[in-house]
Amino acid sequence: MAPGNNDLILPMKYCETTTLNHSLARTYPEQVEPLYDLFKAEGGPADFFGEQQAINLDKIEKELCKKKNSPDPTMDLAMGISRLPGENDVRKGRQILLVELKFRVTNPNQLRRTEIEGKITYSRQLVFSEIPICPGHVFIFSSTCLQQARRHIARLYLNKPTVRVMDAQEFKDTYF
Amino acid sequence: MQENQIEVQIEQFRAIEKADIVLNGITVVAGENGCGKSTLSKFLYYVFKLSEGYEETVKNYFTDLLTSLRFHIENIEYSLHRGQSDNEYGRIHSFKVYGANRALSKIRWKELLDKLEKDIQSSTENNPAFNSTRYEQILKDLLKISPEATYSLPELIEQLKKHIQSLLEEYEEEKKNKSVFILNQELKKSFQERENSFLFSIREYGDTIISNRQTHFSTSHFIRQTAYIDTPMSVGLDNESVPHWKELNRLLKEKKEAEYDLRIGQILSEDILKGNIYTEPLLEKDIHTPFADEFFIYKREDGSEFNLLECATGVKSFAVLQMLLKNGFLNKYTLLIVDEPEAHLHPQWIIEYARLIVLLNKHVGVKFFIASHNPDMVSAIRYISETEGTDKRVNFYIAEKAPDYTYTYRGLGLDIEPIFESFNIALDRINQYGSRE
Repeated sequence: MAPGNNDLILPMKYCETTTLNHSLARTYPEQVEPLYDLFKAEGGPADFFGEQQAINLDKIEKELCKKKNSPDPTMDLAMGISRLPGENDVRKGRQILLVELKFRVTNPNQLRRTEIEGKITYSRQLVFSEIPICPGHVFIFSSTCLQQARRHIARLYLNKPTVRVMDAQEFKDTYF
Repeated sequence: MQENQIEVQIEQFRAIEKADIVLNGITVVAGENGCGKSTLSKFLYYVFKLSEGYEETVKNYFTDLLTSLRFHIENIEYSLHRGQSDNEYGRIHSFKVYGANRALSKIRWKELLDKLEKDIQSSTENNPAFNSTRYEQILKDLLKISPEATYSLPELIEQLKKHIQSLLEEYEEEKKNKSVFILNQELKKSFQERENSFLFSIREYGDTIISNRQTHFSTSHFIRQTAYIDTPMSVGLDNESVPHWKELNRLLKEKKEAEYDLRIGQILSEDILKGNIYTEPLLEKDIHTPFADEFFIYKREDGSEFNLLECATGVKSFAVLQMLLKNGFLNKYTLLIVDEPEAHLHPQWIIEYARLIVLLNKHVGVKFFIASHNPDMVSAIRYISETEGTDKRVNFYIAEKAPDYTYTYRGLGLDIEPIFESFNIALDRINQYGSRE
């Protein structure tokens, strides 16, 4: 087997190196927070995660909007993922994953595609750097309305969504 | 703890392994095809209809029993007079010729049986070729006596007279008592079931009012009339072989000047239908409605009129609600059973229909039993009832697979997530069948 072929079958997992090496993390180190705090602030289950770090995009946007009239809508956080976490090598498939936390939503039917697209578009501009952005953006809902959220978002995207809908457990199982 | 107004329990009936359903306001059941939703709908319809209309039920039961006997006895009379030009029994026999009047009339029975006795005696005395054996065996068969039993024809006729008398007396007696046996028998007929080994019970505020574990039943105080809509295409179709269609059309044609909720009436007339439905006498029969005596007109707000049968099926869905509302059928004692109300409706109108369900329950008190396959219908009922403050009267159920191709119905309260989880299997299939990878 040729070297590097194993990369093709490895799933993407959380990568602290990629997270901390992102330009936003280096420019705004105080806005890099544990996932525990980020989830808790949005009404989510905090005890799923330990000290894994992520970039708080909301707070970065608030910093930036001091120089403009009003904040643009952003996803909640960005974090690095990689096929070989720990390695700071572009060939190892590292990406930045954009995540929106929707734990406080009780009726997902109220979500609008324009709102979702607005957040994605601006967040992609915000995190644009030499590290590619993962095309599958993640929306995390409470498990009490997860299936309704899946259905609603699938319908918004004509049953071919680029948004992945998960609950906290699935997020943890997928990326950690 | 608030007790449930009506609880219905069914076990081991067709695809239903077990269902314990509450009817407090709006009840929604979801599940894959073949899980027994329509069986549940039909069962609710028939059990309340037959119990509430018990007098009619017991009359039908005994009419059927006695009609069958009458038919065979008249056939005996025909045989006895075979070849005679004045044979009054020489006509095409049909069960439809007989009605309750003949079947349940003591006087008519006495006439027939006295005549039978006289004709058999006359044949015995005057016809040397008369073969009594055949008539003896026919009567033994009708009386369910063994063919080997030794009875003479006169003795068998006497037994027949006593049997008929006993049935007529039983009819009079059963009219006064609400017998579960007869209710059960009529339920079996409604489902065309030979065996009826399933168990069912209905409780009203915790008190069992109907159960096939008991001998007698009480009628429900809180459900006094039911209608079953399995398809809006049944509007205008008085199909004799589909009793609930016939009954629905009869209800739709009832002309009563009833007070009704004007706000809901307005929503139906002005926002949705943009018109009104009324009935008109049918001047000419046509091949499509051979048994109808009236037909339905949809008069649009601009004055144009259309035969409702020619209108879109979705229009008929709302037309039914409008007609039943205006003639007073929809009230707090009504149970309206609707299978797949979302069928034939544009997504926008699915939400409107769901809203009407919630409003009719809230303002009129109508109880609904809804079987649905549609995420929008389920979702709309859930959230609109919450907004209207009536979600405490809403209950969702999902049919889950049990052994041997049967299903158990699990109560979800207001949690519609399991229903959506089953709906979302479709998303996985789209990805599976629609992916190029």
